[in-house]
Amino acid sequence: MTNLVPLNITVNGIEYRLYIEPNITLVDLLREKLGLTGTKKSCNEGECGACTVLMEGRPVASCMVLAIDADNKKIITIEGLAEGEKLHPLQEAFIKYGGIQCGFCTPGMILSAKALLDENPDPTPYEVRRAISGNLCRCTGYQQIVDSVLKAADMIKGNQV
Amino acid sequence: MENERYQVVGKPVERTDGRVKATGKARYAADLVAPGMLYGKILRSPYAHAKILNIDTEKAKRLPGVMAVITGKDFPGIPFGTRPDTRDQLPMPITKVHHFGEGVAAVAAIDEEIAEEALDLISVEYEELPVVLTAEDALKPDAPLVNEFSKSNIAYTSDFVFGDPEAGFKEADYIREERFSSQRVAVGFIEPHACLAEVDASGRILLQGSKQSPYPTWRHMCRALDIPLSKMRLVTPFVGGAFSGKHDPFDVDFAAVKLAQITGRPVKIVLNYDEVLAAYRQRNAMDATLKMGVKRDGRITALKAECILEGGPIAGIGPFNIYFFGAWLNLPYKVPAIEYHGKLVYSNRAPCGTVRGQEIVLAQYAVDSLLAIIAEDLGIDQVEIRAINAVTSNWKTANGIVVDVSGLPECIERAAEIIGWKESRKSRPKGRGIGFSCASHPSGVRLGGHFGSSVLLKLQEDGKVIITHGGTEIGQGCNTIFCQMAAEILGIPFEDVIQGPSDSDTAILDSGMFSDRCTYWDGNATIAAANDLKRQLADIASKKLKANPDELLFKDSKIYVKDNPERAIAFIDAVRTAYYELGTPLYGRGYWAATDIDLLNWKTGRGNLAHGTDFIATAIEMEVDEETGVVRLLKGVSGDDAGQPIHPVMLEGQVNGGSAHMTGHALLEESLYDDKGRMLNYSWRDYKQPTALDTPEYIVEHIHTHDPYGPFGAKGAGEASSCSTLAAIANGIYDAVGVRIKDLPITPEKILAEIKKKKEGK
Repeated sequence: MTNLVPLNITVNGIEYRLYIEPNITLVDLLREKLGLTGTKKSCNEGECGACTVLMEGRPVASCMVLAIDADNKKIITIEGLAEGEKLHPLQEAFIKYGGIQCGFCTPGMILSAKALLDENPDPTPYEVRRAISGNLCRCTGYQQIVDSVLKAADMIKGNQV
Repeated sequence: MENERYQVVGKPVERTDGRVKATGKARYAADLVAPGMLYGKILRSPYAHAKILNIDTEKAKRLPGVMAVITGKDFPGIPFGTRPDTRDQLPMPITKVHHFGEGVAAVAAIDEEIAEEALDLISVEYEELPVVLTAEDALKPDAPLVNEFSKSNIAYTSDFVFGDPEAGFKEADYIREERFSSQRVAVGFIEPHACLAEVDASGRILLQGSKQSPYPTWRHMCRALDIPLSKMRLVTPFVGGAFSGKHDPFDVDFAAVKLAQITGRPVKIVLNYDEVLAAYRQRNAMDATLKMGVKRDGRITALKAECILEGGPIAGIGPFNIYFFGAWLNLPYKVPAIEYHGKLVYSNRAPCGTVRGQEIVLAQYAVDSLLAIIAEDLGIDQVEIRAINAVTSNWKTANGIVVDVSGLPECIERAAEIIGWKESRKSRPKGRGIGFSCASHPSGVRLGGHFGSSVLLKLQEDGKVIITHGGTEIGQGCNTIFCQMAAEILGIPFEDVIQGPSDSDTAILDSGMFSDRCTYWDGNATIAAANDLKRQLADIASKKLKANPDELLFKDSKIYVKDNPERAIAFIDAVRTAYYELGTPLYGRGYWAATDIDLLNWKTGRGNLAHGTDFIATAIEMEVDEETGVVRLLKGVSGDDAGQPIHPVMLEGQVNGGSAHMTGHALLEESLYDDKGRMLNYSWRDYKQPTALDTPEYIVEHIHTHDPYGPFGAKGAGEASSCSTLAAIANGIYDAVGVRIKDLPITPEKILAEIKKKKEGK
């Protein structure tokens, strides 16, 4: 058996102290050990973006990150965006403006979009497309996702006023 | 204006699955767990065609943590298939493998690592067989046979003649014949195949899988497992996209069930995406020759088509594909006479199902490309030639399809206007072009007697309705629109209708999610179920209001006498009366099948096989770099006639999505094989699907019509848009740089080669 290694990780504001297999990926840690199945797994090679989470505020493909490399880091998953019943503006906008169909790319898509808006609150449509270009979606054709992100940007600006 | 008539229908209500999906709480098959659950893995063939001489599983079975190992021999050996005359597949192969990556054995273990390790301990002895890779290979007189249940490599044929093609070609002022081909593509949903199988103490199976059409899955599985239908229950979790790639049962489903039966424990199998790309459903490769005759003004007089689809080692739903290719050449243009010959052939590539839009996508690519070539030859405007030929309302096609309502002329007009067609003819930057294409799609066809849809509504004593329908929420939003429809009929708020589980124990009769049939067929079943409830409530209310039940209206959570809204009782009061005074539970039962249209005659090809033909006209503006051959799509516009929009935002998403999906097919995607039939690009690193940077800005213009048979006048949506995109792109490339590519995908290399040829004077 592999020797377990200690991991100190903060996910959605909750600190975990765990012993893990050194070869477990972040996506498997989130899904299998922490029960956070909102993070989706598909290609397992960093191509589809379904497993995107935020690590220290930056979007990463969690299938390409070893959990031990997230030691002492802060992770945000899709489960960490809403505050209780109150959804994040991105979540609201995705629901309202057609950004969601089958929903499988949605968690990763929303987190890539969040990373964009955190850095650039007023993106152009092209900047939105570039920011989500690592996240594959087969349902929407992306137009309504782009619309949703732009609407969310408006909503966030409105809230800040 | 139409929308004013409705309270809920036509409004962009919050989709019922929006919140759970936006918050990551939606459960897909891979998210499910059960106590004592084991993990399954599948061992795959490295050969595309080989005899299985022996499979030794002993070592694997002895590995601690392994609970069971199975092969094809563990199943009863009963073949299944889409049609009774195409039962040509087994749960897992017994005597030989038919394609690269075919599953030959499966393992259940206490964790994934042990299951993986066990696969390495299985030894399979193969004897390689010659490979049938292309349609040409398959049709050679001495070709090896691909499928052990068939004596020929021709899996299905479809031939028909309608009208008088010979006279039509005589009458023509101009005739042109061209050959078009299309490549193998993957389906491309993001969620890989996955399922969880359990067996209860009585031996009854519960399968929860990522399946888009549980009814055929259920029937085929029970047949191949040799168990009665009552021994199996299917509950469908959320499905992460399907696009016709998740209709039938796969080795994943069979293996999970068999391993669960043997071990007595739940078994989950989740594929990795490379397995999906290598070994599961793709679109048929097409080779088609079309000959079209037209009058001087561009009016079509006759069409002749020959099509060969190469479909992998099983027929699957291929018989529909080969028939559809021909049948849908009769639309969206007025074709007075047609001759068609189609062949579906077996091969040793991955098995085909189909992809969004079915093979109408390919037929339309060929027809609309040919029409564009002819317009160019005759100097007719591209919009004009489509308008001249567009099918109009009350049209009967040569093969007998009755089109009640066509918004196509308006779709063409609006698409041309929005894209700025006329202005672009005056001047446009070098390398810029606009391509046009139109398409039509049925709102569900009647391909068999058991094609139907069913809905069950349970009206609870708190006045809320639980809806269970045979459709599957695969992202298209069916769970939302059926709630809208039920709420509309019952006159209650949208929020008062709650989506129940997708469960074969309650509602299942539903031929599946394909052919744009869901809104139309299940929608009509929902209306029937709501009307059933309404009758029961009207009986109760009529006694209280001393009125005729037929005079009662249901609106704003009230039941009132028509023309006298003062005489009313609250909806909830009628419900409470049923439960608390009469002791009557309230169930609404609804089913719908278009029994007034023809059951398709497969031999003659004739039949009015669908109501609610939907229409689309698509214009795509693009830029082609003459130095690199790279195509950049700038803007897409679709005028879309889906009848009455039930949910305008979701409808727009369907049109957007269908079109964007096919931009990949047109420009980027191809499943590549080596000469031994081994797939070369079974990872998303090498198989390129469109990203947000590859797809254009997209505008959808709803052309609002009212279909006489559709629910609230709606037609299907979502697939027509995928049928009008390939030719729009091919035609646009011609418009931009004057080269015509007739074999998909249109890669930069092909464009450059053609530009070079053109410069060198052919």
